Amino acid sequence: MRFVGLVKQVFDPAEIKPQNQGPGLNLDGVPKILNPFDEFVIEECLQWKEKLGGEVTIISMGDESANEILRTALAMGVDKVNLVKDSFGGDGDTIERSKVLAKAIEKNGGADLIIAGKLALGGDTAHIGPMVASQLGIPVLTYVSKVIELSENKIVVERLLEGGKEVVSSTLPCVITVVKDINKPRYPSLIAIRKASKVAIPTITREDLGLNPPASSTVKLIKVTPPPPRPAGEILIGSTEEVVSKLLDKLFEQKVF
Amino acid sequence: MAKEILCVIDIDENKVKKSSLEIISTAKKIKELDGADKISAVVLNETPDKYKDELFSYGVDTVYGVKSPALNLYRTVAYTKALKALYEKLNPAYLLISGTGNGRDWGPYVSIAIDGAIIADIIDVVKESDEIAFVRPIFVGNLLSYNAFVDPNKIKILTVRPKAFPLPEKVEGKSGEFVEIPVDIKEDEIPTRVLEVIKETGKINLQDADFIVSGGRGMGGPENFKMLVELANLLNGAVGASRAAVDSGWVPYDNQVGQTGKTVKPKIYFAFGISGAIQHLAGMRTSDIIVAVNTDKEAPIFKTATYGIVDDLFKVIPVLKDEIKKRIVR
Repeated sequence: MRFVGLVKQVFDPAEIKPQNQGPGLNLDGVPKILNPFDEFVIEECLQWKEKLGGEVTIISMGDESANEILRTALAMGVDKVNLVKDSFGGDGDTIERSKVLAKAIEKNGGADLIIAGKLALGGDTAHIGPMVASQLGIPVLTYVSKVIELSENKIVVERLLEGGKEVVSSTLPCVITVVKDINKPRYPSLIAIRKASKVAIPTITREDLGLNPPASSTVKLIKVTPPPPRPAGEILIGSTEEVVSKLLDKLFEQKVF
Repeated sequence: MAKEILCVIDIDENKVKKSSLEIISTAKKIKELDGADKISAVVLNETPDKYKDELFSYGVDTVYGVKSPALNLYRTVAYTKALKALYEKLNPAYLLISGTGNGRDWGPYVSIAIDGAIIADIIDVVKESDEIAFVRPIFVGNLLSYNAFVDPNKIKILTVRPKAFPLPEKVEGKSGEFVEIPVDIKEDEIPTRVLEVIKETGKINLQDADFIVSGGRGMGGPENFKMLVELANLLNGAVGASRAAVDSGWVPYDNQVGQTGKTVKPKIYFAFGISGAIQHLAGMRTSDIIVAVNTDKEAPIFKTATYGIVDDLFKVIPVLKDEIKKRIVR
């Protein structure tokens, strides 16, 4: 079975400083981290390959900073990695990105199961999983918290939704997006890490895939701003009984109950 | 052709979902700023006509009922096939989808299928110079991004964050046009089957809850979350948790609020023993009122809290429970 995992290095949202707050999107000085959902992507691919056999390819779209996560994936035991470079920035146009990723998957020989994270921090669109599926004309199952069953041509998963869970089956090939805690990602050994650090990461570009950059992006960025500040709060002082009483007075005054 | 704003309506347990009514408000705001001839709604369901009068009363001009039993439960591909049939007839200017889990699944999928353009998870619509800008949180709410559509000929698809827009005004007895569109969706053309729906009966989910009672590392252990459950039950609310509490195995991931968990917007968010790491704040900072209880007066949560109590949560919670019981007669 052919598994493809999509992973991404993202700017750490916790490190956004006032100088990054606009009007343009300027991420100077913001360190990158592995998108926190993506170690679960790699682990899920590996666990199913170990059960069913096959090949795991991890693909990341981005610049050279993505090599770090691709090397981690190699150290964890995946068979192949690919860095996809797109010359078209386009304000992070997710439609264009999904087109390039879908082509890269096809070029890699296609996939039976494509796994991505629930979303990538930063853009926060959660677009890429469903869009890649739509580009390839295959189904998508999002917010997967458990893969219950996987065989040659069928997958059964549990989806985590607002009001509960849903058990859904799908034919393969298929895209799933996974939430945190679907598995326990393994730690690569030091020897594996050292070995992976010497591997040259294969890179493909939009041009290699035969795709021309579009005339324009479908969506443009006008500006970014900091979020509106919260009104100043107050610390309630007194004994436990007094502060609780003060708190409830204030809450009742505002008619929240 | 008439310029139409089409709202996709979700039905849950024979009721129009609140988040679907909110997108009618979004449509009204777009109409005001960008102009439109009408606001319409589409119900994809076996009995779409049941919901038309309610939708008219909230200001929808036309309701399209796309009728098929295959659409009773949301499935990405079935919904996409059904919408495609309608889209080719209407060619609407905008397609509005509420940004629930399933809405965020479908919006991007359908955007490729009908060659549209999409902006995800919007919380506001404003005019910036001469452009209509759609405002969305990025970097888990640490920044707001203002975006505009580029190609006037592509359908503009928006997923709208629940609770970001108010409920529209309701005028009883308003009427409108109902158009039934039967579609023939063959089960064997749909690659997915919903085998089981597991509803958490009797429990309010975090994203819908008006009151959330959350605990962090300061709770000390899983047994103490019982106190939070009791308090949540008194308020008819839900229990949340910080990542620290989830990673310690005290509460399931389902309950996690924050960067890698859920984003919530209750009327009151109680944070007990939560220090207030930026990753947690990302998930709850737009709550109407934040009440923080922590023994550490330097805890960063107090910078965000509306009301802060520097005290032992194990002392505060019992008193709070008693006092609420006294004051709220349910």
